Amino acid sequence: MNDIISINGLVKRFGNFTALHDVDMSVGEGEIHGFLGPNGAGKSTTIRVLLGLLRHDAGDVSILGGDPWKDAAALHRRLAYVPGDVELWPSLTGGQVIDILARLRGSFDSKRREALCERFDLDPTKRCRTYSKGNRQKVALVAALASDVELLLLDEPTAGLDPLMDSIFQEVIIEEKQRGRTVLLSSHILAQVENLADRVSIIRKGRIVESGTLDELRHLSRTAVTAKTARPAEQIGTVAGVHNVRLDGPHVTVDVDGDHIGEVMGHLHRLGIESLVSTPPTLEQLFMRHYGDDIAGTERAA
Amino acid sequence: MTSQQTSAPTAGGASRKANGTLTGLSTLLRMALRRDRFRLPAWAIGIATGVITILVAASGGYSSEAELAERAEMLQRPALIAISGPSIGVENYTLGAFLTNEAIGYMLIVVALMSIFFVVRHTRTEEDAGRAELLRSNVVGRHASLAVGMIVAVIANLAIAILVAIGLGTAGVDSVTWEGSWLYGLAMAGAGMFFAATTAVAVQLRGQSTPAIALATLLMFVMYVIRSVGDVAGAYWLSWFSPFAWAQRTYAFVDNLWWPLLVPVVASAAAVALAVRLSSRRDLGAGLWANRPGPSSASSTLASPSGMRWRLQRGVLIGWTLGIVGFGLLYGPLIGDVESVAANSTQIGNIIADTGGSAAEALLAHLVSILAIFSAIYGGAFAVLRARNDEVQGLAEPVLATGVGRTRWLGSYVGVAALSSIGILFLSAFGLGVTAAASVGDDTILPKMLLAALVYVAPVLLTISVSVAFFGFAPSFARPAVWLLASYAIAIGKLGELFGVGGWAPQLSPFSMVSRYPAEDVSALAIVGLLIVATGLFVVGFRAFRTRDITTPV
Repeated sequence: MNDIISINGLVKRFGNFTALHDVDMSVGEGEIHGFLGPNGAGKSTTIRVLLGLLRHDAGDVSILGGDPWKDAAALHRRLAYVPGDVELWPSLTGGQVIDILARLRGSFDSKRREALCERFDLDPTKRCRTYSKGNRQKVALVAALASDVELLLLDEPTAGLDPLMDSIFQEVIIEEKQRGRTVLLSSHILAQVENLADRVSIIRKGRIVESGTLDELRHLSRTAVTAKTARPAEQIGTVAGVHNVRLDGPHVTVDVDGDHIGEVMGHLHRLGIESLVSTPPTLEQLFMRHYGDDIAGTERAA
Repeated sequence: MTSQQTSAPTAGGASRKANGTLTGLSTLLRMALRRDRFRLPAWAIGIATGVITILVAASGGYSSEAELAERAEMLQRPALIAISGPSIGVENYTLGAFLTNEAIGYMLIVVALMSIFFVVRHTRTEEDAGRAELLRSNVVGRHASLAVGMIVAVIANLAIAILVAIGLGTAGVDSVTWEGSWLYGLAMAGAGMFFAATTAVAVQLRGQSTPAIALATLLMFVMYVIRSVGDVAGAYWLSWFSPFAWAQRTYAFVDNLWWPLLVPVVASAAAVALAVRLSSRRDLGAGLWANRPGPSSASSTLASPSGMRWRLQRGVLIGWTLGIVGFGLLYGPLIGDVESVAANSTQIGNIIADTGGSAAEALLAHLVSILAIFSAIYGGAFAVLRARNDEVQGLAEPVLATGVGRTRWLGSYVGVAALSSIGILFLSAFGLGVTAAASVGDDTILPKMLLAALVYVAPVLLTISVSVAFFGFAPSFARPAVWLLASYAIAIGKLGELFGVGGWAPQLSPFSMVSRYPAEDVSALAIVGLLIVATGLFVVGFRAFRTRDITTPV
């Protein structure tokens, strides 16, 4: 498989602060690659290095076969980028901005632009100063998706979109994959990436901590099970694969390793299940379990 | 490590063309000109009108050759060389020579500010706002936005050159020839282009717009001082390091030398080349001077609106204070010279100040009022209007959503602005007073300077109140209104007052209404009047702000 993106030993420092310690990542042609990590982990920094907006201090970085810093403009003709925070020119309309971005890139499908505006329910005649964050994001998304490019770099592209738009976004991305495009999708929401990604890289504090297909990463997932049983589940802690038991009378909440879920169900069944909720793990829980991080409270852009 | 690509970059011409560092320039330039379609003509027309107004005012003031000759004699004194020019054309002083020797320095300050604003607007401001990221991730070369900033600034300067040349050429003043008019306009444009080029360097060094503007403005002041010092000391090689001198040494309307126009072209090219080199080394959004980490928590003084204002304006305030105080310190030592000349010639003293006082006192009065105008610009156009910047950027919203009301919120900006301006005014007057007293050998000068500063508190507060009133009613016009007021105070008020020209027009400047102490007695009436108007404008502005919508970024 050809690597569209190949990163080896990437280091990026801002003054004394090292944002990326030693990042390795590869994205193959035609795949949707999920790039997961909490805020401030280094996702956006990595993407900005890939775009040649930041120079890296050490390591090898190649994108579409070129050097992102030296060949920036030529490479950008073949890729499109949507930042997490889209800022636009207040006095121009959304349609004008889409056209400017398109004219710069040179390759553009105006029919597709119309279709995308309609699908995302974007009014291109409004001035950008009146757009909400979500609408600004739609402008950048339409400009990127209507371009004829090989690679899409999407940095938390749905942060401002509502659930309906999020699902339209997911449809569109799957179509893009079918058209043979490669997508790097960064996110701090595990569920979104799970739906779309072929492979996933997880970054934490400037280092890639996990990388592989979602199946390969199953060992990371631990399902939360909350149940109410006829008799209190006092012995549930003895079942293999059970962690973090919280017992409150008939109510019990436990975290279960993916491959032991059947045994836990059997145990609960014997106690008489009255209600049962099982929740897939969030990225936050995953990080807390594996690295003891408290990442929910920190709100810093990477 | 890199595996083979089936979709290798399209080799050859197309990709090389796409990879130029100026790729995308024409599209970006068209966008920039569209965004500036009102702003650019407004600056150009405003500045050209200023030049023409000065000529008209001067032609009214110096109606006879005798008056011009008297003026020329005085202009050879060091103090006046310092504030105007190197005695150009004094052998046969004409209105044309007046334009080149005296008026151009003032106009170039405004031209420089315009060039600084345009370059920063299209480079650093775009990066600050995060819009540059969207462009640079597109097929846009690394230096394209720098080129756009420079080109827009050059277009604005050339527009000024053309308007000034046509305006002066058709003014119908004998000494103001067509050839001189074109040379004069282009000399202004050349200096303006160099200020744009130094700004291109400044935006590479500083990571945000405001510090970049401050750095570029500081460079301009340094170059202003270099010309003064070089010309006064007779060290003309030193003057040649200043664009103010380049413009004056065209001897427009006197000898009409065209070759000095080459100097700003070469110097600008060198500065732009430096900017390009620096820009190739830095990350998008970063300056070469790294940001330092800061404390992790806020002290109790910082956690109040006023505390926050002080902290957030500290750097800019220090910069302005140093600049204005430095201006005062620089001119103080020249006062003794004026005094000794005036002792021999009462005529000169009378020309400087057409009313009362000694020559030294007249010049001091003039200098204090300049210090006051600069102090007022800081408070009115910058410190108070941080409120507008913060509002538009959404920084007002989170604060107003807490227990802080609108009056207290705006009050914190106004309070800090007023105290800063008044502080700068007194500090700079003190500096001027100390150095002037030493050079004249008269201890009474220092208290007089402090009293003079007190007199100018009223027009300073009035300037800030104008800003506040506009902030309440029509916030987008607040900054232009303050600049208009300050430009009027300098171009019409100060020039008119200094040269005794323009009739009643200078008296409309609030900085000319209050007496020219110590040259005249203090006029309590004017001060009280200005304070009443200022109070009214403050009340009106605060009221209007309480009832209007907050502008928020959506």
